[in-house]
Amino acid sequence: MAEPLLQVRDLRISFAAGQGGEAHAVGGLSFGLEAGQTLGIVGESGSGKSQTALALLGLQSRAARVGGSVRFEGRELLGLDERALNQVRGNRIGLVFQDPMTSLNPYLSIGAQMAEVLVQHRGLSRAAALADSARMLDAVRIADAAARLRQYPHEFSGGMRQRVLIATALLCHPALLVADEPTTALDVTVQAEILELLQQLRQELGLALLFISHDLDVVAEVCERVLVMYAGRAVESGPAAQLLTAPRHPYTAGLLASRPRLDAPAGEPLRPIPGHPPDPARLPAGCAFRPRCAVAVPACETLVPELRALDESGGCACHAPLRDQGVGPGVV
Amino acid sequence: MLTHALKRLLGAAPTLLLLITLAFFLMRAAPGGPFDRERALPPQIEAALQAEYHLDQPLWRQYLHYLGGLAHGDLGPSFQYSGFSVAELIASGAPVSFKLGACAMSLAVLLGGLLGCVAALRRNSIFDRALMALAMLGLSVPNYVVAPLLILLFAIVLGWLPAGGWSTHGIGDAVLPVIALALPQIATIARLMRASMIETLSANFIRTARAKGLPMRLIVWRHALKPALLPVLSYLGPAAAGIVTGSVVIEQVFAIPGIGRYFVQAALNRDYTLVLGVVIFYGALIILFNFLVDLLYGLLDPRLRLS
Repeated sequence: MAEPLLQVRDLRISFAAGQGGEAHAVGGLSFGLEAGQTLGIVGESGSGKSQTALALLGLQSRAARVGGSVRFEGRELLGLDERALNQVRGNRIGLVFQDPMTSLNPYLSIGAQMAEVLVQHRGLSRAAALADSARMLDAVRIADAAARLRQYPHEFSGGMRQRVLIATALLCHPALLVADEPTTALDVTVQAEILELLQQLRQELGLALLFISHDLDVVAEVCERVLVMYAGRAVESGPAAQLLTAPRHPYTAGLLASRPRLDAPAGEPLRPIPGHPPDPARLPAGCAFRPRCAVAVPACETLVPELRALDESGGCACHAPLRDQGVGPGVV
Repeated sequence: MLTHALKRLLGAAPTLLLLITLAFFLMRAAPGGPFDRERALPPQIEAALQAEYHLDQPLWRQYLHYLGGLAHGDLGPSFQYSGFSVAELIASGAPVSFKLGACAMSLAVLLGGLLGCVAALRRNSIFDRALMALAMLGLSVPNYVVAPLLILLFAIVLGWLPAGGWSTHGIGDAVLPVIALALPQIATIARLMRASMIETLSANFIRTARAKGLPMRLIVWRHALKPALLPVLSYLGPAAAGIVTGSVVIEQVFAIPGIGRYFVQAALNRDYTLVLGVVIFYGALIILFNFLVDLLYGLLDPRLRLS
């Protein structure tokens, strides 16, 4: 079988945490992504999803220790030197971050910030790079692109800036776009526009998309497959529709139950998951979710559950997956 | 932009007037006068001197008289250096101090800026730690220790450079005083630059630049340098005004005919007009340099350019 576009195996990211201790931001994460496909990673803040996105391209903080394997287009990315990584960054893999308000350099024109990507990776002249940049701004539905290139970030709204950042990430027609909470800082209406734009661009350009969010609904809207992370590990993965309707991991079910819903009866309280995510420097023995889990069994206290395939479509890392017990979704 | 600049300059006039007024009355409130000596002058001579310099008139008339002269660009005669006007004294010393200060400041900006950047890029390396320790030393050892040490080493022990004087040994005269003047500035600017560069490099837009696959030197040069320079620039305005108006210690140690010495001597001698002249000169320079910094900010930061 041919190797997928992106294959992450046993990715581990840790930080030194006082007195020789270690904080495990990501502990043994594996997933694959085929060309042109979409994968969503969902988790609370601190679950390691953003660290994962950064580590794919060697952009993690200098204090982080990264282990495992990240293969992309048949090449191992972990451990590559800066020069080799720079040929992948912004060229074969585009990256879009959460905060469009601060992710553009306020001192440089939009044109300068876009064109430099093409000058760097394609060796284009400045004029040619600007022309290409204008075309890409057009593609992300920014009107009057040529004039907009001469403007500065403060002359753009948050949604427009995110469009600019997406356009910049796509300039070199990468095979993979990694979007880390690209809509979290935006208004709901703008968020919907950006999501729609990402969908369209993905189809037009045949991109693979790794979409990272804390919001299960947003991820399900954009992605075919979803991976749920908790405390640096994958707890469940599968087709988006299946995760939303028939979650198997108690944590996924808890996430679903804690969403505010418009169709819920008035006055019905939200049902947050009790407790807090664990401190990554002091992960509990066994399953990290056990202290918050309503269906824990004795094995959960000692054995870290592995992500096991339950059927061909997905897997779940739980000693007592919900369907096995005959417990329906949302009843936790 | 131009009208904005003019408005800013006009707005500085009240500041300057306040400064003059304060300096005028503070000097007069200080005990003693310009003609007090160990041995009292004969009363007739003292009265004649007082009348000559309008000191016999009520204070408010003296004040108005001074302002009147100032309006015509007349800083008045010096009380101490008889036969010289204050303007002449400043005009003879200021170019010397200015040359010295400009050299020192240029050196400090180039060297301090460069060292600070390199320290920021190699944060927590041996180089960084050594440089910051040296900078701390540069800041805490006073001028009057550094200057004689420089003379001892380079003029007396090694004999490479003259120990003092001005326009007697050509360019060699300037080397030691410029270094002595620049050292604490290099230290300050290096520390500022390092902190500012480290902060800039942690900004989200730098992360974006890295995600674009740009090499680090391009990121520093194109994306980080400008924002990192702005805090340094704010420091440079007032600092430059202080440096180009001369240093009492440096000019004294190296026997340089600048205006630094007037600051202290004039105040001790109660040379009212010279004190005021020097205060106005210094104040105007501070205002001017801060104004230049503002202009530069406007040029560097597109958000200010339009508003």
